[in-house]
Order: sequence, then C-alpha cells, then structure tokens
Amino acid sequence: MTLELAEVGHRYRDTQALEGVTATLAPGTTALLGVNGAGKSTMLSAAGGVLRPSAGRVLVDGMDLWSRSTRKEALRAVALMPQTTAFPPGMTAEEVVTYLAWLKGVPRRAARTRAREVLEEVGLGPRMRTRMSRLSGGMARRVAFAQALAPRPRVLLLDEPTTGLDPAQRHAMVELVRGLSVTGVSVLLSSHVVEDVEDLATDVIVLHEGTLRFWGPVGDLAALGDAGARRSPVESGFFRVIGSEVGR
Amino acid sequence: MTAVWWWVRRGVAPPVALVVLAAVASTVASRSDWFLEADWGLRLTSSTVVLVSPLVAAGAAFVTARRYHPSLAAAARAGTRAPWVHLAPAAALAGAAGVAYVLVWTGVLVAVAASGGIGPTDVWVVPETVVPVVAAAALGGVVGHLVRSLVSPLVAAVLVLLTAVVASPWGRGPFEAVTTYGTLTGLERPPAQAAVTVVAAGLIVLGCALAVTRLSAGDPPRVVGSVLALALVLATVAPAAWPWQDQVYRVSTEATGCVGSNPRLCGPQSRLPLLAMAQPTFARAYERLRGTPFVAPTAFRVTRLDHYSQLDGAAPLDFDPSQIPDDRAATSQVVAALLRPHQCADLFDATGAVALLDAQDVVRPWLTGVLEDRVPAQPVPDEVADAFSVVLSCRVMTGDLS
Repeated sequence: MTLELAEVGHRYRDTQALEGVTATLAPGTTALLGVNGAGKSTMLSAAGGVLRPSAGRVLVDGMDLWSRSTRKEALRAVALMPQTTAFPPGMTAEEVVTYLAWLKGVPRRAARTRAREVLEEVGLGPRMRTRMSRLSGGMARRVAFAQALAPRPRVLLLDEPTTGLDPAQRHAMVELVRGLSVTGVSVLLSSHVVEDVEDLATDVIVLHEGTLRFWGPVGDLAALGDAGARRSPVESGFFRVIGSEVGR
Repeated sequence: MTAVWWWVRRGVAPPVALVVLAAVASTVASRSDWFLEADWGLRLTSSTVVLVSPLVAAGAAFVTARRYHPSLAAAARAGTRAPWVHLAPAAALAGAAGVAYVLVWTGVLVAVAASGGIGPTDVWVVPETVVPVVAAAALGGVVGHLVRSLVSPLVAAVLVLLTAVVASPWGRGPFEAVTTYGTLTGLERPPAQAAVTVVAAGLIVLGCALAVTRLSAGDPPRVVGSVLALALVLATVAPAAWPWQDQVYRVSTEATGCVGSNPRLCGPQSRLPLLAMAQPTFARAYERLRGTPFVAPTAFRVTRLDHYSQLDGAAPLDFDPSQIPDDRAATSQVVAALLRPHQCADLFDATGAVALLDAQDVVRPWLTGVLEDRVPAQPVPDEVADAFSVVLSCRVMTGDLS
C-alpha cells in the first residue's frame, strides 16, 4: 500500500500552509517533523481525506483520494488520528470508536466488536464505558488512536500521537505503533519529539513553512547534523535542514 | 438511522423533545373546545411550529457546532458514508420533535375518540407541521457546520424567524404552519396552498442536503453557505408567486348531507355525526315551539365564511361542536339558530343592522326561557312577536357576502 502526495499545496485565506509537497510513503514508519505552523497537520489532514488540498493530488495505491470515482475505496485504506480529541463529552469511549468505525464503513455490529478490541489494545478496556468527559487527556489521546485503528487501515496517519502523554503512556504508545509496522501497516506520524523519530521511524519528512525540506532515511538526516552539537544527530540534522541555528 | 440513533441518545434530543412535548401538550390542553373534532385539535397543535422551529434550529446548530465539530465532523469527512451523515445530529432533533408531536396528536385522537367526536379528515396537517420542523433542524445543522462558535444557535434561530418577517407581505414563511382557534366544520385547507407551504419548507431541506454534499466534497464554507442562502431565499420568496387568498381556509367542497327531521340539520358529510348529536335538541325545541312563528325553517345548513348561496332555502347554521355539551346542543346554539330563520342582508347595513339586532335582543331572553322551561311557549308575548316579525321581514340574502 502506497500513499503518494503529488505537488500537494493548501492555502487558508491569506496563508500558504502547504506548497508543492511531493512524497511517497514507504512501508514502515515515516516521521513528519516540523516546528509549529510548518504544515504538518495540514499535510496529514490532506493525506487523510479530511481537507481537500487546494493544489496537487493525494493517491492511495494510485487511487485519487479526492476523485469521486475512487474516493470511497481510497478512504477505506487510510485512517487519521487527529491532533484534537474534542469528542462529544456525553459519548462513551466505546461509542466514539464504534461511531467513527461505522463512519469508515464498518457495519454497526462489527464496529462495536472492533471498538472493544482496539480499546483493549490501547489499554482502555476497563474504561470503555466511561464518558469522554470523565477521561483524562492522555486517555482521550488513546481513544483517538483506537478510533484510527478500528477500521483496520493500511495507511495510518498519526498527528502528534504522544503529545500530552506521560512517560509511561508515551512508552506504551510507541510500542503500539512499533507493533503496527510489523503487521504491514504504513505509518506516518508527526511529532515535535525527536525521540519518537529515533525510536520508531525508518524514514523522515521535514516540513518547514509549508515546504518539503527533507525526505529520506532517518540516518541520512542524522548524517546532516553537526557532530559537535549538543543535540542528538537527528535533532541537529533537523535544525540544519530548516536553516535554524537554535539546535546548535 | 444508525448515526441518528447515536445522536438521539447522546445529543440534546431528549431535553428538546421534552420541551417540545410540553409546549405542544400545554397548547392543546389549554382548551377543551376541540374535543369533538380531531381536525381542530390537530391544527391547534400546529400553532406551536413557529416557536418549535427556532428552538429545533438552535438545538441542531449547537450540537453540530459544539459536539459534532471538530473531531466527529473531521472523521465523517474522511469517512465512506453518504454526505447526509453530517446532518445526523440535526436529524435526531427533528426526530425528537416529531415524536413529541406524534405523542400529542395521539393524545388528541384518543381524546376525540373517547368523546365520540369526529376523526381527522385534513391530512395536510401532518406535512405542514413536520416538514417545517425538519427544515428548521436541517437549517440549524448546516449553520452549525458554518458557524462553530456559541453564537451558532442564535444565528440559526434568527434565520428561522427572519424568514417569517421577510415572507409576511405575501403570506407565510416556510416555518409557519396553519393553525385554527375554532371549529373547522365546513372549512378546508386548500390542498394546493398546503402543498406550496410544504414544498417551500421542503426546498430548505433539499438545500441543506445539497449544502452538506458540498461540505463533504471539501468545498469551502462560502460555497456551502451560498447553497443554504439560495435555498432560504427561494423557500421564502417563491411562495409569493402563488395567488394567495386572504383566508387560509376556504369553504369545504365536501359533499353535504342532512340528519333528522323537523328540523333537518345539514352540513358536510364528515360532520353529520356531530349534527346528529345536536339535532334532537333542535327537534325538542321545535316540539315545544309548535304553532309559533319560530319553527318556520324546515332545515338548517352549516354556513361558513358568509357563503349564503349554498343555503338552498335552509336557514343558516353557525355550528360549533364545542356547543354540544353532554351530547346535546347548548340552548344558546339553538336560540341563535332560531333567531336567524334566514340571513338578513340588513345585518351588513349599518342602519338596518341596529334595528335587527335590537329585535333579536328582545326575542332572545324569551326564547331562552321557553327552551329552559322557565316560561310557557304560548301565548307569545306581543313585544316578542312584533320583534320577531322584524327579523322575519328583513331583506333575505341569497348570495355570498363577497
């Protein structure tokens, strides 16, 4: 399963959030790095079928995500864990995941069964009947992760999955994502945390001011780093790529 | 249905349903005069549509803007279901309001049946009530997609109310159902006029459906908003092209019949059972007044909206089912009928009307006394006989008032 972005661009009124991004998601885990406002969420939203890009195409196994004839089929293969987890406070975790799986085309009964499975997988089994208003921020992140897993996507897009998680929760999340790579799911995850990249990714995409600055193996990015820098090689390479001196 | 059911359970549908139920039930319970006529009771509930519509629109806007957005809306956009799923929170509210109406309508029908009254004959009351509420919910849903802040319910409610204001010069807005505060015996809602009202509200539903289709296709909010605005303008302005009459009801074209004898009571076929309840009281009055000039008419015919050309020699009858307490006509109704052996044209003439009304005022207490067995029917006092001769000798009106 390949996810291909061809000259993808998006403009929000007077802000060019993304411009001419071309990349193909390789099997395994690809990290998406960038500072705030770099265009990471816009790119993930476009790749996930949530946001129609103002330019370019998103192709899933050659199927255009925004073409009427192929959209449904393409969407079945892709799932997005959004950055915001503002689910209806009155819904239980199980209901949220079931509902979102149903929206992805999973029949209602199967969606409920699958929701229970994935909530167990993310460690929320005992809390699946708890309303969202009573779950902590970290738990809500795990619900968001569970809903992305529920329709069994072949391409999983994770928008800052470890944000707001405590160290133990982060470790658990990293293990879950690592497990997905083994099952053949292609993962694209955005993160501010370089450790996530080092722990999980084989490839990395660096966005800065809406444009693609780097796309290649993590090792290649690390190789660009300054050996004498106080930061890790990947972090140092990242700052070098975006032309910032902050990391030195 | 799956998505709607979720929102019935987890949105604001239950409290909205309770509020609508309370509003509609209290409206219909505030009166008891419709108990013998289902059409009257059902149409009375429609008076609440003008209040329920903004409430439902506001509720739909709130749920969509503050509960459905951002997470579920984003997921739905990336989902494989039909674009209508975006209106599921709104549909749940429309359904909840619909259930409230159906419950009250059921109560009305049960009450009418228990009173031995007449069942519904005007089926237009259902679409004329339901479609505007559905349209209001759909409108609120789309507004919720476009305006995500807390003012979204206010915007939706104001839009609903605005249509009534804009449409007022030529008729009704798409969120105003036709109601009644009196009997519909002898009247009917013109089907074509009712259809225009339903189509106007239906246009909004279609416009909202189209708007969410554009939303689902990733079109920007200005496109979605333009579709909604176009639907609203069309639904509000298009009915202006219809040749509306001043009155929303017209004289019924239903076949008529008569019941009893001495006198016969005549009216629409569907209301004959009610006339049959009243006729024995008229017959008893005729028996008691035998030999007096008050029993000249051999038949009374239900007349509405001053259509006297239909009388066909009968005396006009202002028939009101609420005037049949305990399965018999009220004395006041019989007296009113006897005081009008024919329609006097003088009643529509300022000078002639005074003399006529004065004459009726002289006869009324005596007739009431006779029918209540307080005074003998014979002999008729001279002043009563003289006054009634004024009534009998008036200029008879045989055409319609218009």
